[in-house]
Amino acid sequence: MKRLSDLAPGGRASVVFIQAGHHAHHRLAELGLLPGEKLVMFNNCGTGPVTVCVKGSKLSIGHGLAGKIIVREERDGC
Amino acid sequence: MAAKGKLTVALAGNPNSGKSTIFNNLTGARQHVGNYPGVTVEKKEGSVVYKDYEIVFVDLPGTYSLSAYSEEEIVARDFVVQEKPDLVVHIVDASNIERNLYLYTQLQELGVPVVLAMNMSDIAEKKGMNINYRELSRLFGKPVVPTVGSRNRGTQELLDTVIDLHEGKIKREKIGVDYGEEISAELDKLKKLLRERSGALEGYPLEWLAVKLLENDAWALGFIGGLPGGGEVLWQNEKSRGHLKRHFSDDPEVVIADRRYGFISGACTEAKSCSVEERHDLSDKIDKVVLNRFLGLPIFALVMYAIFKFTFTFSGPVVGWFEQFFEKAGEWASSVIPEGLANSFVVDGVIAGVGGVLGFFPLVLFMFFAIAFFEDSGYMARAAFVMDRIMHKFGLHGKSFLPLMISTNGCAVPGIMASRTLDNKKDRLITMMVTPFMICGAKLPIFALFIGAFFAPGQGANIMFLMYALSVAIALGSALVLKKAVFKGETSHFVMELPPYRVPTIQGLLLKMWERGWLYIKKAGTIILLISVIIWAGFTFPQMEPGEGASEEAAASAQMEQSFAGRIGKFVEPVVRPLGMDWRGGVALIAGVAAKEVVVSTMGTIYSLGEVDPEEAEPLKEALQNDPSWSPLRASAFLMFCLIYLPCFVAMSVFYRESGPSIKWTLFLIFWTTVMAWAASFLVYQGGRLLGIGG
Repeated sequence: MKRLSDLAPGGRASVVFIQAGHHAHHRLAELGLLPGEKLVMFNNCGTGPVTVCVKGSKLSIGHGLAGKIIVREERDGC
Repeated sequence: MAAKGKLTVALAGNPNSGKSTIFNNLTGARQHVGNYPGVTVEKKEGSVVYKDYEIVFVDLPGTYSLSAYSEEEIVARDFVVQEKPDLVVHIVDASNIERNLYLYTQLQELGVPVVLAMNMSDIAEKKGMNINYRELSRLFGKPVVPTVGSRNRGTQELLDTVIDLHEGKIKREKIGVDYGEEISAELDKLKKLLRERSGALEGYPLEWLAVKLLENDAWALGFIGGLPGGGEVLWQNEKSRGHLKRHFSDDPEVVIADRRYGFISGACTEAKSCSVEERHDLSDKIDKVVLNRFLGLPIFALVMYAIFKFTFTFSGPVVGWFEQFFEKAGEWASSVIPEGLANSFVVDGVIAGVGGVLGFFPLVLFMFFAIAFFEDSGYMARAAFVMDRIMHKFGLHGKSFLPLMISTNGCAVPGIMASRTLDNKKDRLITMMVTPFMICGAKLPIFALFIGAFFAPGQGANIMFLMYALSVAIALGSALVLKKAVFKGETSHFVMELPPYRVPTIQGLLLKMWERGWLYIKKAGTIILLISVIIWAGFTFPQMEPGEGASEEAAASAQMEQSFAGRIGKFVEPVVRPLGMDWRGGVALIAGVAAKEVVVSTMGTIYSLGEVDPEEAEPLKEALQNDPSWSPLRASAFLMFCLIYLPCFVAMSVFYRESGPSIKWTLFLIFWTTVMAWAASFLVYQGGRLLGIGG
């Protein structure tokens, strides 16, 4: 398991849980970032926001918030 | 033609679902832009006569959800619940239906008839998605119409469906989200309690309220808490939420979101199939470059440069026409109205004042056009993404760059208005608070005059650059201080969708430009007339008889010293003396609150030069150079003050309205900028004197 902010570009993962506050947690859930959801990292520069492909569209998430999303990386794509 | 009646239809949908294009197709140019009462959310209305019905379309703000997290979401749901439109057309991006339908799951709980418009169905097809619209319609129990907004396809069918549904020719079924046994049981308990109080619910649907309560929706909690006997409902809600939390070991609102997506994905498995593997499309290829760690910022800088270049190149001649028009209008009024107070009132007060602001109008329009282009094409979301890395360090949001950019060389008024794109109230206030620090188009002449008068030509460009750098540093520094000291608490999170790139339509761009331009005129135009008159009166009264043999210019100068404005200048002299200024600096600064370029024309009057064109101030430059009471150090202190102090009246009035309206924050802005300007100016002047740079 790792933080979403540590997932390398092109990496595939599924959401395990989210440690953010209630507000942010709910917001992410409404945008489709729910436990079990599969996503692909599109862009991650190490600093600044990251961009992930989730539910068929690109979502960019601030670095701090991405660090609160815990994902499980999937080794061999899907 | 006998009208069968009037229909009100609300258009709902995600941002980037092509909602405004559909709205434009449906209503053509018969549109009206206003604000929802009490909030700074734009309300667009348009109407069409179709099959003997007068259909009024209301474009709701684009939202992903109907929670109470942003003003847009509250406005959208309040409109549906309180104004009770006859129908809601939900516009869905067919190429991205899962995320888009999330909003639908909440709309249908509001109990209003819904038509689903599957927009951009051509793009979905191109992406290899086969959507069975009939099946989707059956699964949701709602009519579904495929549309292509950019080619105006499906508009007629959409209108037909709206009328058929209204006339009952289409059957609608209620098929809601299945929240599962546990949640449904708790919802039933809440509904039972709510039903006992149904008289006081103001038409809010029971079902929807119950779900909102379980979601811990701040608005719903407040609303129910305020009802007689509402305490009992809230108590039950706490119990239910506690129970669900233990059962799911997650917040009930997250489980509810999960169930909604489950409902959507169930429907999609049956109604949607992909014939080809989703591959990397053009948007992805562009993003690989635009979001690149090293190329992102240079590309951003290039785009900003392109916007400025476009704005200034094309607006130049038009601004000239506007200036000429007001000049001619002034001359004409001078010739018609006999010399005296009435003449001065119309020419110097009304025409000069209004012309000063409207002169900026073409520039603002061109800038709005360029910005609309980058918004509609999808680049602005990327720009916010690229800038967030920097802005975040100063407690600002990635989207904050746009207001700051519009204000630089442009105008703080549309800049403040552009801060509406920020959803978080605190982010918006901080951004609005620091936007006026940028060097706007009206501050430029002041800098040009003083730098030209007191610094060598070679030095001038460097000093000007220094001023720009200072303005950015002050804006970002202030943001940081405000964030740390005033707007403490949870930082808002940066989450936004990056929509696929699209080619904007000319009609869409022109309409957007015009709407925003009109809003600017309304905001600036209404206040500027009043302010112009007040300022004019301040310099004109009390009137005094010109002395024997005095030239006209000397009389004007003496008149100014005697006027209310002059007396105020004398009154504030002790305050500005430590900054190296006398009463004349004080008067010029006070007049500058009307509009910054007025600082220059006021100086002109003080130095008995009569009319001074801020663009060509050569004689004034010499007068300043020859005046022993000025020096490069004093000029620097004066410029420092001009850079930071109070935004102009129009900007302040727009700030007031956009901040809530909030007197508290407006007073805070006034206090903050004045104190900081004084302190910075004091440091420059007294520090310079200590270092022996001059007196």
